Amino acid sequence: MDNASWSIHRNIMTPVTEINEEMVFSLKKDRSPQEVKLLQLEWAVITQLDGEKSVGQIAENLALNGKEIREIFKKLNQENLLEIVERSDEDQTISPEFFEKLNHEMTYLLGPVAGIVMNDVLDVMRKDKNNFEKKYLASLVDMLTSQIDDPIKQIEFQKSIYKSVKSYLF
Amino acid sequence: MIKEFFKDLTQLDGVEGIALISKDNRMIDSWEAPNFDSKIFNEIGINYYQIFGVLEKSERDYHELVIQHEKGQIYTRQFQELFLLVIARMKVDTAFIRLSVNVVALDLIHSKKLQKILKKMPREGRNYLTRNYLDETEQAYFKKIKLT
Repeated sequence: MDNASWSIHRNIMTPVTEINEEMVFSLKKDRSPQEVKLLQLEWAVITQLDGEKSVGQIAENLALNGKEIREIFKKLNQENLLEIVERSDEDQTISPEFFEKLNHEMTYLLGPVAGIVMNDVLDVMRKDKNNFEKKYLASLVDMLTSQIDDPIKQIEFQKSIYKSVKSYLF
Repeated sequence: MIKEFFKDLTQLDGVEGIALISKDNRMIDSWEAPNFDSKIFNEIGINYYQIFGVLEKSERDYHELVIQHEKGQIYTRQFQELFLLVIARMKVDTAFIRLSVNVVALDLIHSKKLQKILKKMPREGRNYLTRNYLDETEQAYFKKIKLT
């Protein structure tokens, strides 16, 4: 499976007890590294943290050995600067209820052609609503919005489903 | 103002900085992730004024520009008297940034707080190229420029 099809989500509650080279971290948004006294190499690791590179990749980039990189991550973790980014290839699809809501809102704005418009857009995207991945959700909304002529109704539509979209992406 | 209107974007993993910049490149408000240098906002702002200025000269009404680079993307949305910059990693879906901006844009533009700030700002023309940073030769060049 390619990396692009992996879903990435945060699991802030998982305590990290041991660092291994496959782990991926990002910086916590509510805590700045500047609040902590760090050594030059620890700063170098901080600059590499992007929520995508693994501990092993960062070690390679900075020419550090396994022991060194684990020690640095252990310290950064103890300083409460890190969040683990969990990668999972489990099914990350949109529920049928969401499509019902989308259809309801589109019907309210476009009338009975809403279902046809929805199917046309899904055809263009080459996607199936029974197996629609979350990562394409905002693009779907974007394309459906473009099918509504009135700019005021476009915003009305987006506002009506924004909360649901957000719940899938956060 | 950014934390009030763009709270979702500030909480989205991969979004590194957001700024609201007035038409004369004054910072109205900004937010940045802990490891992000906020000085970059005004530098990028100048570049976008040039881009929007050239587009306006050629009578192209672009209200949104997204520039992608090797480390991420810069999403810019132009409003009548200001523009919004969102600096994000590539993994952030541009369509979601657009959606997040769309749903609050009107409320932001009509907010009393923003209107109060804008009232204090110069009411000159939007085209930055005609007013700042360009000498006569450069201005003459831009007058002749034709975009295809």
